Amino acid sequence: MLTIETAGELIQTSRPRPGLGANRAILLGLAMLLGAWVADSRLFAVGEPWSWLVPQLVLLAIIGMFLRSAYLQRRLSALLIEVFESVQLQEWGRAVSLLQRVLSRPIQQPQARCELLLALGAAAEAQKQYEIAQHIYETVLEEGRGDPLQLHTARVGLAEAMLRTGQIADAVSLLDRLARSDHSMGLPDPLKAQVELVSLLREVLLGQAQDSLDRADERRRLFREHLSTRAGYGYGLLAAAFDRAQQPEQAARCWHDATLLIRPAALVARYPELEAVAARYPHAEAPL
Amino acid sequence: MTTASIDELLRAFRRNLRISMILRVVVGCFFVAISLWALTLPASTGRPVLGMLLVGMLILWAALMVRSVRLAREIQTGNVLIAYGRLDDAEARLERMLGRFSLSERAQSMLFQQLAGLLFRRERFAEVVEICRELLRHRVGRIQGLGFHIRLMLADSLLLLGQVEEAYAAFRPVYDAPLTLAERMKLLPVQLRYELAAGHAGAAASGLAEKVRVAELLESPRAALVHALLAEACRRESMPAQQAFLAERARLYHDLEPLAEKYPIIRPVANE
Repeated sequence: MLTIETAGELIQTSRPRPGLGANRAILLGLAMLLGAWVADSRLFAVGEPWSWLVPQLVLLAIIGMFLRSAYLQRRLSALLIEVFESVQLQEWGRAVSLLQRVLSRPIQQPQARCELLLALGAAAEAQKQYEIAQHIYETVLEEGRGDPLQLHTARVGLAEAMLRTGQIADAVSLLDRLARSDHSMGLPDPLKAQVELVSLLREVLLGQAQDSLDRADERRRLFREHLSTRAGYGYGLLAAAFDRAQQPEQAARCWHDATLLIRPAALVARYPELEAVAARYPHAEAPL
Repeated sequence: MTTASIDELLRAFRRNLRISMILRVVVGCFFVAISLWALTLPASTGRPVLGMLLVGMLILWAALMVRSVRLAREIQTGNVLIAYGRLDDAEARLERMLGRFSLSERAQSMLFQQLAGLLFRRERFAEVVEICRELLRHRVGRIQGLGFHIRLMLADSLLLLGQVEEAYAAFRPVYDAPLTLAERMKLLPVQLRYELAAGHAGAAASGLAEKVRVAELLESPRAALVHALLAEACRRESMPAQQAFLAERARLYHDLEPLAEKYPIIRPVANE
């Protein structure tokens, strides 16, 4: 089980260590030792057979360090694949336990660490631990070590987490900033789709969804083209918006499409606001 | 890039591989010979020779590292250009890169893999087949990640050319190693297209729940394609409830008409 303390610890322990690091320092020391021996053979003048054996041992140690580093790198890569697979398959319990293992050591590559923290944030969100998710996303944004796409994902995740933790004003202001960046710099459609999903949630939560139904078709297009199966969440929220606007036919159609992609229980688990819609409209039957 | 220039590039690739192998052996032998010779010299002269040898090796290693980093950056830029549809720019860069000599077989193979990807986007499938087959003839075919992608691209192109049995022969070896989820996601559309084209609709329609679970992770157009392929398999296997469900889902992901134009095998589902 993830707590805010363990999340904080994982953020700390996964921070890359400043300086050379133990492995590189040892490697550098060994290389210098070998270089010094080449320059002056009296360095290992400890009598036969050590005088010729010691340099070979130093060389072997260097090779050993390289092999060990390659082995650790391979093991980390395998673990990362496991983490991302469990996140993709939404096996959150397994994902959290793997993430705790990986993040308990320094991760040198900033983008890899950022991706892992985003995965941890997503797992916390899925388990309705919104304060933890918020803390993680805030840290990612404060550190600013991810690539632009990762930072955008963190902003969108933070906006959703803040909506859930009741920091509505901050969430609205963040979403407005994201929407403004959409107008000024031309946010690409795949990123816009994520922003629109959270904006729609905000409108449903604040009871304003019926006011922006004129954008429903555009939102539907964005969800369909860029969110793949997750478009189901968007259709579910659109159903709630149409329902509140007293447009039952449209609401029923959106709810049918939503449940065709995602099971009703999963939709309601992620967005409890959809409970009323789920009770009112029939869902699609899945014969598989 | 014309077919003739691709043939010329492939000939140069084979020549380069031979030359780089010979060079590697010669350089290795040279270093070993010099080391052995230096050991026979008196300490006062042998030691500086060994020192120079060590420095020489370090310089060579550093030069190769710099070149690999540059190449990796070029490959990354090429991938970005292809992803954004700037195929002419990507082609010009590739042509320039492929004209250079490289000691690394892997680097050369990665460039050719990128060229195959570019030609695939241009729907020049016969040339993709030629390049992929050439790559698989060499050691690169046995490098797990790279080999998988080359085999899949080859099978995909062969299926688009209607060479069903050859396609199966191309992708069958990927089952010999455990597959990651990402690899299973890439394999699924190709495998289903092969099974339907070869008349194994039963195999395509088996394990539907698991296949749908993997398909749900794909981006919209490919998710639509896999759902349409599964719907077609269910149609052939007389499973109307599953067929209707999968076809409706496929339409929800993406318009089926443009997909059916490229993959006529889903035409019956698209026309429903």
